[in-house]
Amino acid sequence: MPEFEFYQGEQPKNYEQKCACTLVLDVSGSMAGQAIKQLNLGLQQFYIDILKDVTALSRLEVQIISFSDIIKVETDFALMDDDYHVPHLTTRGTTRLVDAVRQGIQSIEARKRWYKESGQTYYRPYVILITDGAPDGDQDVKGLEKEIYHGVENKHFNFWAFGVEGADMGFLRKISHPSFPALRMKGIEFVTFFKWLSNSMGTITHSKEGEKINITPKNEDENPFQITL
Amino acid sequence: MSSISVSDSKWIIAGASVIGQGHIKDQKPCQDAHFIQMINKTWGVAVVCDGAGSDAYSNSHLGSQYVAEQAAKELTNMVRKEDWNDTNKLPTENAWNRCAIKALQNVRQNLEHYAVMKNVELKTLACTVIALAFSPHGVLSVHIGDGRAGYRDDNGEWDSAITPFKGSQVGETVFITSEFDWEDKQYIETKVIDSPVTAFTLLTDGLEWYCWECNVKLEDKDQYIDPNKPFKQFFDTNAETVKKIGEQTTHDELQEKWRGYLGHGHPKIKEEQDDKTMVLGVLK
Repeated sequence: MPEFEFYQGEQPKNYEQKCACTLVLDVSGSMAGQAIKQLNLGLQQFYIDILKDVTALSRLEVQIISFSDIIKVETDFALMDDDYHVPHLTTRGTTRLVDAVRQGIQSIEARKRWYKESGQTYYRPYVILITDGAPDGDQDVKGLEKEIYHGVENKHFNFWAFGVEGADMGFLRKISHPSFPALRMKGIEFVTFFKWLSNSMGTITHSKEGEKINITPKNEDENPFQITL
Repeated sequence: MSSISVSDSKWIIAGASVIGQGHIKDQKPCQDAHFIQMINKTWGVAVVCDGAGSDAYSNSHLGSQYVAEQAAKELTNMVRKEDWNDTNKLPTENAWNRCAIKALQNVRQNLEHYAVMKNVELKTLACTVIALAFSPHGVLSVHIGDGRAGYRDDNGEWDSAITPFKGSQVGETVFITSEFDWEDKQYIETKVIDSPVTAFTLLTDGLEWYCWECNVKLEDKDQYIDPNKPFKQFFDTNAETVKKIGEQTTHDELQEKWRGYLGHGHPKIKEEQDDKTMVLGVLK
């Protein structure tokens, strides 16, 4: 029987479809000490893990916003490739959480507009909040709650809130959409958390719109949450 | 009226629907399906369907199988009724548009009865559909949703036979079960390729990244376009191989080898998360 050769050569040069992800990170005074140290280590781990995932590396565009009494875009949307610089976060001040999440949502909407204008299809974007506290008293919590519900319900973006030790989980649960309930992290295990997050973003960037994705940690060692597997 | 088999026709056709890595991991069935029906020795109909992936469409694997088979039957009947297969004369755009839409409306109606019979909601059977009535004299296409289809002309050049419908977010599309305006060409598109054809292909979107130019950056511009162009190297090589295998083995063996290629025979395609269907037909 002769050998038959189906095509094994190069692929067409198609550009990857992008998945925008905004990390909204609490750097208020209460995060000082071990928490901020672990958060910085976690971000480094996230970068290392994304570098190893060829698909996520070419599809995931990450923006990092830090918030205290100041809201700062630490890095704008970019692939986490060899040129990427992981910011080093430092703590200060209070917790303008609501304003920071709103800034994240606005950034995501602007990025989506750019994708559309430039003719690119994109994965549903993610806004990911990590905090160890509660918003300052003057923040418009009800308004944010509505904004997030409307955005997630209408498939404009997904929103995930993660609470570190000390976080007001009642508040986080309140602003979260039922399809993405807020989760409490184990202590300040940011390295484990970001390992899980990079795995999850890897799964998401392989998926199709509307598909239910199982991103539950596979074993207790990989579980960065206070949930029973 | 009975049909002839592909083996007895003037075409060699490979077709396979293979489960993707994502559905293997999640222990879900393959939601893609395809169906090929010859009308006579030169005319036939090929259909591919891609079942909607999310949990809201939990019976889409049944929907895609049913729609693929029904669409092939309806279009076969239509071609016979209009006598295109005997006259070898292709219809006008308007005539084909009218007939093809009627055929898919019949499929949709049958699907509604099927949903009642199976005691499931119609929307859970959601799937896309691409159908080609093919002959050496030309190709007639109709489709709802995404995926790709194309043909090779007698100069050896490949071109697309449909324009897929895609939303702005990855994977967003329209299904045969969706509520849409059947007159609106962005949702249901028909085309007549009235020139000699030596090969054709239909595929679900799980494979397009590997064999179709579909997201290309314009030089020196921050602008991306979908050229919707079959990748010549891929299809020329595979058309030649399909032809060789078809000439030297049985139709069933060809299908098995094609299934193996889409399943694990290509370094990148084997890793694809989405289900994968491709039909590739070559004139003998």
